[in-house]
Amino acid sequence: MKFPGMKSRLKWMMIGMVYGLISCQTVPTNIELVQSMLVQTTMESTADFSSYASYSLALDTLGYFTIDDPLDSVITGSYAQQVTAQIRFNMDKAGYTRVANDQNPNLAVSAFILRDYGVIQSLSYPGYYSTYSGIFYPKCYGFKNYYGYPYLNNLNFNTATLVIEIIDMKNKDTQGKSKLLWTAYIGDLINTVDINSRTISAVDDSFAQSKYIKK
Amino acid sequence: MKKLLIFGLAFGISIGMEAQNIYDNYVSASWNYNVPLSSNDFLTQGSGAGFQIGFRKKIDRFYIGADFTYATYSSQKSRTTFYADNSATTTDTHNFAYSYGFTVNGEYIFRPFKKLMPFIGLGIGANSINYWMYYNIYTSKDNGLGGLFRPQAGILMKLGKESKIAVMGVVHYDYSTAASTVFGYSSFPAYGFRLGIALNIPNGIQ
Repeated sequence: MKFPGMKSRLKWMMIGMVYGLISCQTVPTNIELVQSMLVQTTMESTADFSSYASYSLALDTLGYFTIDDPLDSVITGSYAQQVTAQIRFNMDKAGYTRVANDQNPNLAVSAFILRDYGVIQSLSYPGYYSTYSGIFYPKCYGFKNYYGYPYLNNLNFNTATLVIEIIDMKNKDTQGKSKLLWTAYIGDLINTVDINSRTISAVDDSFAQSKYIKK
Repeated sequence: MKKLLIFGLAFGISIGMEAQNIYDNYVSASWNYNVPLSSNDFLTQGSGAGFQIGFRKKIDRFYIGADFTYATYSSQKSRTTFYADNSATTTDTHNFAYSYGFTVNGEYIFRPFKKLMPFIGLGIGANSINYWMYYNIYTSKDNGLGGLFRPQAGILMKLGKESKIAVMGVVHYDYSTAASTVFGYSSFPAYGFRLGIALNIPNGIQ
């Protein structure tokens, strides 16, 4: 027994299902994703932030490194001014006193931008799931003689991350090197909307989620 | 009168024979709404982004066959801080799970050859779930592969006595072992319902 048109109907039904398969696989839109920044912080496990009193911080400038040319350079302007001012505000609020570099600060605060470095760690739910690969060590802005964390070097170009570091200048090891006590990664600087205000909020978030930073 | 009776009897038999030819085999396609049941709050919202395609062959009062199912689950989580050891992350997240299931099915029909054919059944097979978390421009993902156990009940309603098309409604419970350690799933249970059509394919189709 034959049914004319049956094969055709089946064919169109299958085509419809394939279309359905494609259309059902939804993803969030870019504009939904970049309304606010991601803020990630890590602390050196033995750090005691109450044992420090002063800090140094270069105002109005941010270090800047690109993956193609990982040499020291700085950016200035209103963005750098606002970001460093907000870092200062949070350090002052935590009870530390800003002093000049030549006044033996207990802590050194460094802020710089990494362009096209994959420094953000993958998130699990609700914790971390690290996926380190392709480790690359850039020079770091301002303070080069300390132990740092490796930065990821991936192929995720056209990204930028603001990095804030707090370095122990009070307790150096026998080789005269300082220890990195705290790092904040804030991203993405290129794709997130309203970059200035979002960065300021993110700087506040980085300190808010690190309540152990207090004198 | 006798001729009329013979005619009526012959007509009735022919209708009955035609009815028995309907729904020997069928293919089906349906829209699927699913609700995750896990206590994990990674995904909490029901989703209408799903479908099923399948086929059945009738043996006595049973249908046997297979289903392919697809579902997207999604939940948007507001900005929050995740703490872990000496680390913390603040972000909003967009969480997704893309679920692909294949089951071999057996169903018992309560009223075969009738316009309304209720059935209950069970599907057993495999399930692959791709878990994704989107946050700003970054993503985390994991893939779970496991078994799928799907009890279900439904009804087929023919659109006419000799119609080759029926509408179908099915409620089902899914228990999947497609786990994800990254996102905290040891299993992925869900329930849902399907609305769709079934298209009869008589045995003689070529």
